[in-house]
Amino acid sequence: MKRREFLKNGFLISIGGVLIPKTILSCRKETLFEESSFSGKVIIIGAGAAGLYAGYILKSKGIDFQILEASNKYGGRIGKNDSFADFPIDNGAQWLHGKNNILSDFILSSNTKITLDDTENMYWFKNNLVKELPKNPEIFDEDNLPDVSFQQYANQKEFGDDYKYIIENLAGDQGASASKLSAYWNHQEEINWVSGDDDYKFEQTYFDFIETQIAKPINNEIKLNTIVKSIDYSSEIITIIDSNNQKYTANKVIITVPISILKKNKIEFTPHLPNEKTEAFSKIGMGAGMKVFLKFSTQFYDDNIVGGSICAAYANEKIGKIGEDNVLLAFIMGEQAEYLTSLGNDDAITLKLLEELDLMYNNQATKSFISSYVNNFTNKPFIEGAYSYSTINIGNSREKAAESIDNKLFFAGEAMNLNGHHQTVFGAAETGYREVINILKNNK
Amino acid sequence: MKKLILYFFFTSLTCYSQETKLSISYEYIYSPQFDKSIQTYNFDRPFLKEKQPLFINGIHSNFNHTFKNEIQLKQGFSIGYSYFRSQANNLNFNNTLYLHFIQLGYLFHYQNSKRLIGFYENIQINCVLGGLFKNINDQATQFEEHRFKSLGIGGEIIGLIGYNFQKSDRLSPFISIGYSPYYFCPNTEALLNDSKGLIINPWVNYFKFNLGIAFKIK
Repeated sequence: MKRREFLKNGFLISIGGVLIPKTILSCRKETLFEESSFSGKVIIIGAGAAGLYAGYILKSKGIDFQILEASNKYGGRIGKNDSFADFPIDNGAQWLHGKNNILSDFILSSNTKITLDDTENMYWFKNNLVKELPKNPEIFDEDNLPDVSFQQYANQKEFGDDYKYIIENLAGDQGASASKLSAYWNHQEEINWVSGDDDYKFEQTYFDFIETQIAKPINNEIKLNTIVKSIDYSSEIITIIDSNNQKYTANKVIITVPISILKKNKIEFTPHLPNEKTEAFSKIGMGAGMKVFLKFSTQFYDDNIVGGSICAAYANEKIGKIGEDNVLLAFIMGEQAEYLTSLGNDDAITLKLLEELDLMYNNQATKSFISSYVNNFTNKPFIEGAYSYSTINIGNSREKAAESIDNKLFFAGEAMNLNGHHQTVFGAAETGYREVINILKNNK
Repeated sequence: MKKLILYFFFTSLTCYSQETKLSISYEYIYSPQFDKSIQTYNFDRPFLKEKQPLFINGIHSNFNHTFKNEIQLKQGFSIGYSYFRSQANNLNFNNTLYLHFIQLGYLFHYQNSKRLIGFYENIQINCVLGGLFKNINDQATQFEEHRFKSLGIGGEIIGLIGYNFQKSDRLSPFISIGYSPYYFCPNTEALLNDSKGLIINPWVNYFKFNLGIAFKIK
């Protein structure tokens, strides 16, 4: 090869080496929809974690939006009570489950204080408090589980009546009764869980974090006390009417209300939602749930008590908090919550719990009882339950429920989470941004 | 024993080798799936001011060895390693992603000394093993008490053109392009974006481009 040819070839190779990557680089943006062409208005129904996060993302993109919230506060199933004890307590969601999730990143970057809750369980088993059970009840993360309830599967595995409320606690973690939660589908959905196993508690509350970091920046766009009654999506412009007959219009609507509200058709859609959609809603479970906070003069109880017949899970509320008050949380789900709700008033609920604690701790509960605070989600008019769970035969109902309709109605909320993070605050937030992506993706 | 094995290995390489080369190169990678996951991460985290960079620039090193042969098309084997890093430093939150690939492959080396003096071409077919890892604030992310990782396997085909200087053939600059269909365990999206719902398919394709220099050992 002559020198001239070599130089020519070398020059071409060098030009190619520099220009090809540069050309491809210029097409590669660091974020999605850097220049969004969507100029319409989005209305978000519900100011829970999903609705707030969707609004937060829309705000960051400069897109016009409004959040309509039925109740007189934002946060949905996240709340705060700072008058019951000398430290703030979480009315609703209180544990950050794992750290591999979007809100954990937000918590770290905002320097929000959280503490690992690594307390051990004590089990109420055969009328005794024991540290270990004769048989390990963690049988629901095996492969090849049948599509039967937790209770049925426990029976098949010969966990007798002694384990009934231990199993009830495992189901209660999933917001369900052991008789209604599917062993198979719950496991199928849990396979996708990537957030991690550790539980963390907020030094303040989950609500404080959500309020400070997400709700306050979009506070002007949240309209409280606005109960949406109907959504007409028959034309290009969607019309929403609230209980005061006030009309709102939008190009896109993100519906983030709890699945219980959708199951009970509390919002009228014109045209009607497809049957496939309503069937999907009906298959997603949503059971009763309540949190009862009991304040005592002394801490006679263990940090976690599992297996009570009235309440299958008690937890020391003071863990991770700065304060002196002794507060025990009774975390009550499913049939136990239904039973306590049926008692009709908060005093009766408290009395039942004290009876059980007296039995466990030699009458120390009643002696040192100071006061209680009952937060029953079952009775909350715009919530009506704890959180979604996987029923027997749920199949792909969550996917069906989360599908958008006519590129106009979009569905978010913890029940619509498809990556195993349903039942969680960050899972709800994930669906919020997911639906904003879906809106922008279809309107490039 | 180890020394003995190494002795025989290198002796056999010396006896039968035509050429042994070590190379180092800049590597440019383009994977639409990685891009989309990181873009989604940046999109849904407006609270992080510094955006997570895409996987674009990396380094690659390679060891290849061709066997003695009388014809112009020679054959050999190749072992390579690629490294990419994506780091965003935000207040209280430093997110670093690491992407490693190891390539084990077979290469065909062609050099026509009459027509294109100095130039040679390699075609390489590799098996690729990869790992994706994440650190937050310089600590490895954990899942179920283990390092959270996403491992994968794939194939790779690479075309390379290099040039041997006539005066000293110890150094040879080269460029190469490659394509890989690659299968990551389904944790990839979870690791990049804490999500599994937006890009469901764990198949990843990537294209790569290398510009580097090879050192002839023998």
